[in-house]
Amino acid sequence: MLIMLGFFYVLLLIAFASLIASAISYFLAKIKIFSFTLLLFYTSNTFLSFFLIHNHHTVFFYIIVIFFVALPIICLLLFALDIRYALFCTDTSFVLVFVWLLIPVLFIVNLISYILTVIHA
Amino acid sequence: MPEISRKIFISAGESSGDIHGANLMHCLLEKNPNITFYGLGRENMLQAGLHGLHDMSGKSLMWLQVLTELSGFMKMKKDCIHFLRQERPCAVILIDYCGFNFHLAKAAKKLGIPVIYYISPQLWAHAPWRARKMKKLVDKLLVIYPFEKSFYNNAGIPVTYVGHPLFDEIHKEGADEGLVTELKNQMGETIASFLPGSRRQEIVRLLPLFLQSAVQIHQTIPSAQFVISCSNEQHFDLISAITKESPVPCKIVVGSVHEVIKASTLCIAGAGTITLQIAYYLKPMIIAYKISPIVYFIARPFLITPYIGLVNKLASKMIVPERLMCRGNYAWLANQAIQLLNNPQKRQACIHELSLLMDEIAKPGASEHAADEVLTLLSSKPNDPRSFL
Repeated sequence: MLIMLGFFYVLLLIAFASLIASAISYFLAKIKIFSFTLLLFYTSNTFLSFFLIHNHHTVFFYIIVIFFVALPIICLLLFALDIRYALFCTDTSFVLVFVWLLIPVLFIVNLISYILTVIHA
Repeated sequence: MPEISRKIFISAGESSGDIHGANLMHCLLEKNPNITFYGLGRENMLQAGLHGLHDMSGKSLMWLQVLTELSGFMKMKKDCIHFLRQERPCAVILIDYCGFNFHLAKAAKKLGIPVIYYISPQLWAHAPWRARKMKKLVDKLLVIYPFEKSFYNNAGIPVTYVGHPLFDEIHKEGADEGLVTELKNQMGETIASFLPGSRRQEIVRLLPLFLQSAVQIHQTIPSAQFVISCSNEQHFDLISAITKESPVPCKIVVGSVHEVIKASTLCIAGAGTITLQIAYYLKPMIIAYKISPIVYFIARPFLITPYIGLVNKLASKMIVPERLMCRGNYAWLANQAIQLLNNPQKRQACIHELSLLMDEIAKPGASEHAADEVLTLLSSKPNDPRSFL
């Protein structure tokens, strides 16, 4: 159990570090670094959610993945496509507000799940 | 032979767009009295002869406010597209308001109706990639700032610089000298005016900051008197409520923006067209704009222009102090104001730079020029059954 908690702890650290790194790289408009750190963030958080939540609350896990991972990634992809090919009449930059509201929430959900797991253990 | 159409569809959403749209309509009607205008506008355009499909009063919404009116916008879009299909106007003229007007441009383009965009949205400031969309949707772009011409030319859009219609308005109306003298007599020699903007959100964000700086200015320069310009009567109660908490007395002037500026020794304003009005009267100014930290964080990668103030952007250098703030940095604002009020050399340098800029851009005739461009574009399509000629 301790090894598992240690593994979760490492994943949580990666998630936190990538959250900070993605925020900084976004702010400084370093798009390639931002894309990489965001990918790292979503990967680490998805694994973390899977290990912490999936076994006991499968439906909740899928809601998290759909709402906090898939949806923002689709939004970001649409925004990137709009920048490249001018697809939409509506200014799609508003999706960034939506994405940046969801990113910290995903981390907090995982953090709470981790704390509850530690207490439970 | 199909019947020759002289119908033009014109759309403006903001109140400033309504004024500029009305002026353009007057110029077009002077050159061709047979034109009939249909579309979207407010009271000025309606008075100028617009057959309004919808009244656009109260439709200048920002951000999430748009969602609350979404069904109304959908209905307007549907009605406009229906009109374009049924009536086939000879041109569609869109004035700023890109959030809605881009949808109309798309519909008109699909129907093969020429689209003229008058007063471009400020894509160069925050969304340069949208110029590609503009290229797809617009046949002719009429811009009001000289630097916009190269920006849109680079994107491959046919563009003409027509000048800023604001200067038509100022040349036509000007400031009421009687009111200016009255203000000066009431308030004294040193008047600092606050022009927080015409939107409620801007007033709520900027006015408390301006009033905090007024306290510091008053401590250093006790003779300084303060005026708040309330450009929209609807916001008088809001401004009164905010001002009530200020320890420094401030006079609120409703309307009469030109007179307030002309009577002032120094103007403190939010970023926007108001800075051009202040520049026209060669008044030293400070530009301050406040946004929330989360909005600043999200918008930061897209802030590609080095200046927030139009006058600085037009001059391509910092000719008046400006600052984009997340926190209320009133000490900076007060410090800049005190320097401009107390230091005659600094004041004079600022006025000199403003006069150089105004010599270059403050020329009337934008609406006239825009009307000529519209008619030229329409006459360049002689084989079109919907042609003017």
